[in-house]
Amino acid sequence: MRLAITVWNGRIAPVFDVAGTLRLVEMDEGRVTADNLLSLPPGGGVFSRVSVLTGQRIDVLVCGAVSRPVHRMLTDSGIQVHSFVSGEAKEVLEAFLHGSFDEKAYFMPGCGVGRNRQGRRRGAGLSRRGRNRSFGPGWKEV
Amino acid sequence: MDSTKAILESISDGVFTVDPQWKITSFNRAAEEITGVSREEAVGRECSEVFRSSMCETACALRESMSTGKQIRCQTGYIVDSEGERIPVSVSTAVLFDENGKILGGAETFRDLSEIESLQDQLQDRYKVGDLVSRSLAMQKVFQLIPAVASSPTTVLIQGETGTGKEVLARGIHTSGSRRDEPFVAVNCGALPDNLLESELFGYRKGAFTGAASNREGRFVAAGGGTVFLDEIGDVSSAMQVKLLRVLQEKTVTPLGSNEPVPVEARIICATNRDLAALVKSGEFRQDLFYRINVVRLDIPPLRERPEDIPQLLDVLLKKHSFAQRVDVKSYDPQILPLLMGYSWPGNVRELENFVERAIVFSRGNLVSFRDLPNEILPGKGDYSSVVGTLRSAKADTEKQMILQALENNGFNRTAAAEELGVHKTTLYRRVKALGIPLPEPDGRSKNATKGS
Repeated sequence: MRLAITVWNGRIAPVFDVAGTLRLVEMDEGRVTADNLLSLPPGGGVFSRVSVLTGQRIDVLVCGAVSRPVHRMLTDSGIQVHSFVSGEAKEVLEAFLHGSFDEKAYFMPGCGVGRNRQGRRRGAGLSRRGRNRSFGPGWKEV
Repeated sequence: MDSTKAILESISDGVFTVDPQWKITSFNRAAEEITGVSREEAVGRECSEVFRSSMCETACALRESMSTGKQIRCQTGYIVDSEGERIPVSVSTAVLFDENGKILGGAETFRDLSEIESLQDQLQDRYKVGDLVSRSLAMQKVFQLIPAVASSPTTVLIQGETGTGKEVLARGIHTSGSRRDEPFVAVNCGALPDNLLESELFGYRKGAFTGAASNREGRFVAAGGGTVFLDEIGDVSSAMQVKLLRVLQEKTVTPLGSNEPVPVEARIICATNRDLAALVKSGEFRQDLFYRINVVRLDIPPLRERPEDIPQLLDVLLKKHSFAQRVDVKSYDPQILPLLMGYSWPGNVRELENFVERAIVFSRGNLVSFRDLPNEILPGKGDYSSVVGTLRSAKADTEKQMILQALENNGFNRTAAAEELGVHKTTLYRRVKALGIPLPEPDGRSKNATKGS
């Protein structure tokens, strides 16, 4: 399995859309067979960002917050996404290696209540102020 | 609750403070609302994992404030809320000191810019009907008619050169009106021979002709309560013109092989790249049909007459095709703009769109540049019949239109028109004279001049 984790200062990078570094780990039967750091293209270039991952044949991505259109592009590319994850990258990787990764234990604040779909959890029922909810071309609420 | 806390709770800007280890120490009510994170969950956590902003990794304003001691004001970016929505924000930061001047941490205030961006989008919509975008005055006049046209069942005639976006405008009218949920059926009348066009438009009954194995409804009926768009109406034969006239008059169609008329509820929009009035004069087009379809006429000027639209069209088309092709071509080199604006674009917006699509395929960076230009646009090779003249006259035309519009808006009162245009009245007078703009007698200086046109 090829696992990618966006990292920043040793922790999971806060926002995938602008994350600068990717830790790429190849695992085989619970053992790490390759472990490399990759730079992601700077700026908000979403297509090139996603194509780096598909080019590396990533199976699973663990990352922090990710905007919906980007999340959809990732899953459309066949990548299993664990998003809105926070914490020490090393600890998350260990948990993955031992098959004990429990996403709930690593949720970012405000992301643990009332999950309604993969990688998306509603906040703690806080009201929002008349925001225009549009997610760019092609986005459809799931 | 002390007064500072009460104030922080009452304001609409989000405010949070951090300790020197970047852990959140306070989080106000607006911060909860904007981020979707409750205070209980936020306090004690890393600020980057709560705020989740595009600036955290590389351009953190709070980090800069804490390292330089300086305040940062109104830095913009976006945050990703717990539902994956990007929220545009502007942030300001400051350092917090204790009474001995020791750094206690930092404070960040942030403002949700969604509403401002939404208003900006609405403003942009003024220059847009469906997928058609334009800032030119001639097109603005067309756009202003759309709401009224869209809400009426009247037949519309759209005239414009090939590639100007006649079908796009027709779709814009369809989607702006109450028929938007019904079908939009487009038929190119010039592409089909008479008998095929007839069966296509009116339908047929089983056995009407060899091969008619079952009943088939025509496009007029298939459109239901929607819109039928008849493109290239100027190219239909005289016999077909008679049949179309009947549909428009009777609001019914009779399928081939049937004697039973079927009612037509669809609205009809016709389009042509030919001058129908001239065709009527030359006897190629029936006058009665012309009057039937020429109820509301919208003329789309060719792109060479509105070069000021090219930058906006480029932006829209780049966005559209980079998304479709999943590449990151974001912009174009400003140096190529004069060439693009000077080119005559005989194929109009369609040709411009083809250029953009091709440029995205071949561009080697995230910028469309000089080397991506096709031969016909390159200097010395393209149709630049008087490039300087074209640009100059385009500028003069635009200026003339703007001045005329301002004069009309202000009942030809020059002082008021100059004020609207943001120039001194003597400048306006000089430009009126230079551009040969005729002024009515009596002009707006007379006492009975009325405001508004």
